[in-house]
Amino acid sequence: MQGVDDFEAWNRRYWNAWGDALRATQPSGGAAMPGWNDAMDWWSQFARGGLPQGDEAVSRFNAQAQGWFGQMQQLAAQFAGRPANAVDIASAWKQALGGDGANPFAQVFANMPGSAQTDPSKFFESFAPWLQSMQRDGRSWLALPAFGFAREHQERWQQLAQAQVELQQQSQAYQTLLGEAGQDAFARFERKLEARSAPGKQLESVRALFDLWIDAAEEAYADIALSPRFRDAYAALVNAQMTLRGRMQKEVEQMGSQFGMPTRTEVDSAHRKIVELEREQRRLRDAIEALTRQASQPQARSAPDAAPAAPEKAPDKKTTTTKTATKSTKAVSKAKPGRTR
Amino acid sequence: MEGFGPLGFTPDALAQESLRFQAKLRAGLDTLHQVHDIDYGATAREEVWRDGKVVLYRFRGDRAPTARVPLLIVYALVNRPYMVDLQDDKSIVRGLLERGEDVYVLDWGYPDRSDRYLELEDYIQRYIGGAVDHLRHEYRMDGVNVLGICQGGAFSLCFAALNPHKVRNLITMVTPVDFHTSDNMLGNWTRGLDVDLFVDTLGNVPADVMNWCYLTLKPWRLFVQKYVGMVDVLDDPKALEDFLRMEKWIFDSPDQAGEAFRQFVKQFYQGNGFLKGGIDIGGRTVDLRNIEVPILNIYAEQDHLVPPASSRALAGLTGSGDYSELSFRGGHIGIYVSSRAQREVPQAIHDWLAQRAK
Repeated sequence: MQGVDDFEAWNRRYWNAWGDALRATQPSGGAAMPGWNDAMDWWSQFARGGLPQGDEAVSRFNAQAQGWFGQMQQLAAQFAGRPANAVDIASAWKQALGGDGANPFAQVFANMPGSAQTDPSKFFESFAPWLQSMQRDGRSWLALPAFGFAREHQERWQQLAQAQVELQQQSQAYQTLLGEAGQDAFARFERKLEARSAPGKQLESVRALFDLWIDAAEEAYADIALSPRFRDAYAALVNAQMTLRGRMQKEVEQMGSQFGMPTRTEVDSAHRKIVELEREQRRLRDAIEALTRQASQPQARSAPDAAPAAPEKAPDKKTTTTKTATKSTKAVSKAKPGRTR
Repeated sequence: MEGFGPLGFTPDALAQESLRFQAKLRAGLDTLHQVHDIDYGATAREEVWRDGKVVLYRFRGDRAPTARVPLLIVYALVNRPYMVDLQDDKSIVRGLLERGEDVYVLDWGYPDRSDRYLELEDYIQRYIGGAVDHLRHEYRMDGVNVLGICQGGAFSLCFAALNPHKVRNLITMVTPVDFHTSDNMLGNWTRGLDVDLFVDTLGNVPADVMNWCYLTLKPWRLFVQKYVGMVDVLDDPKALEDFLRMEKWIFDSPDQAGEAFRQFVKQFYQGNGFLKGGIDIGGRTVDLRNIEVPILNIYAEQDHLVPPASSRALAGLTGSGDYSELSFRGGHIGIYVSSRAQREVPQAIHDWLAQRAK
């Protein structure tokens, strides 16, 4: 494995250099960790290639865990062996993450894997070109009163534009709350550090320092996330996202129907009918079975007290592999005749 | 390092820690490529009943069951039920089989768009009901034992309330009952949601949305700290396998059938129907007082998804004169997979059932 050997050699040089830098740290200076992200990128690259689940876990590690831990290592290196109090350390951490404007929660959320269905920023990213073209084409219409043969189109586009603005506003309100949680996390981190300043309670590793920050951040987040304010902001954000998405879906359907293509609404309508028919069929079947059972009750009375031992062989194994709801109902229907309770 | 504030390590100690971290990463380059077996399932099973995508499995232990009444495990819709039989040393199912229980698990499958209009009635009366009827028929008995887990526990409560004669003993495990406790984050987030708009827009609720929601309950722990912790096990193939198997389970989430999701959020998360009433399943009202059979309610003390207070609210809501609680020291996932769970949970369930089989 030439690649791994290369990585090892490169990595050894990197870590040795970093170790030397740490040992040479002067009280006034903060040891930097040059190339940490590069090192982790290298590692992630060589670590992939096994099971898909392994690759995914490596990706999640590389997406942000390594970055946060690397930053915490830098913080630790800055203060290791120096007389530093909780205020200094917490303040340096805050500065490292952006100072008073730091929003570590926004950073964590932005780097979480998610599709356009989950993360508002990714939602914008995915659909931005489409929305921009819609806006470009419709801009001249948006400000005008809706009338004439294209009135309905104009109204839809106006609603779409409004929905987009609404989502941006709600997203901003949500980010503000996350920002509050972030500032609270810094304050909690400082208090936790203070509590660990007594002899015998000191943190003995970067990992312990890192875990302390995680505790502070989660506590701050829980406080906000359980509040009525967050409930309202969260609901408003999701509702705004769904409104915009719904408007966009409507536009796509509109275009599709102009070309005679089947739409989501039509397919849903068919699925609804199938499920309702299935449900009705099942109710009828149950009613018939109840009547049949009633008619034959003296012969087929169940005897729970004389229950036999468990069936040794699995009875009547159904191997139906049909996929649609309609066919599966048939499979159930086949299984029913002749059974007694 | 007394007198130096909260940090008790020297630059040298920091360098040593970094070297250990590096060694773990290096080992990971080998182990990550050596790990091949993260498949789930420790126990032989066979399909015994099916309705569409929903399958009832019977699990087979090394010896024949001694219990006369089968135990049906009903899991939640939001993850796959193989969590109860994850691997050899993490299997509640295996623990129950070893103690003589006759174990069945209902597997909901993966709903697709054709299932969008499945309602709670379908899940509770059609699927749970179908599986229970199958067992009643095969064992020729009126009622079977039911173990409902998480959302499956809420479904089991509904089923038992609507069909009291079909359940002999009911066990609920990490089951939400009061959805409005002050420590229930999911309950808080869903309270103001326009779920009609949500489902009308999305149809089925995608697995990605569900995963995102669960990860954001504890974003730092579940998305940052956990993967730093992964480095600890990179030099241990067995521990890495366990970690990746758990990862597989966590991200193996089915989409949620839209209508059932709408009803569940409205009636349970928003309406808090077990406490306030108003749960309607297929035109029938759920009244927990109809449940008069023995109930064992197991909750986890550190459960961040279903807080203990949410589960414990069941006390006094049913008509059962034989209600017990079991407190488990652990979290929502630990209750299936921790070594403590393997020691305590199957034994507690078995003992409780055995006492009521006499």
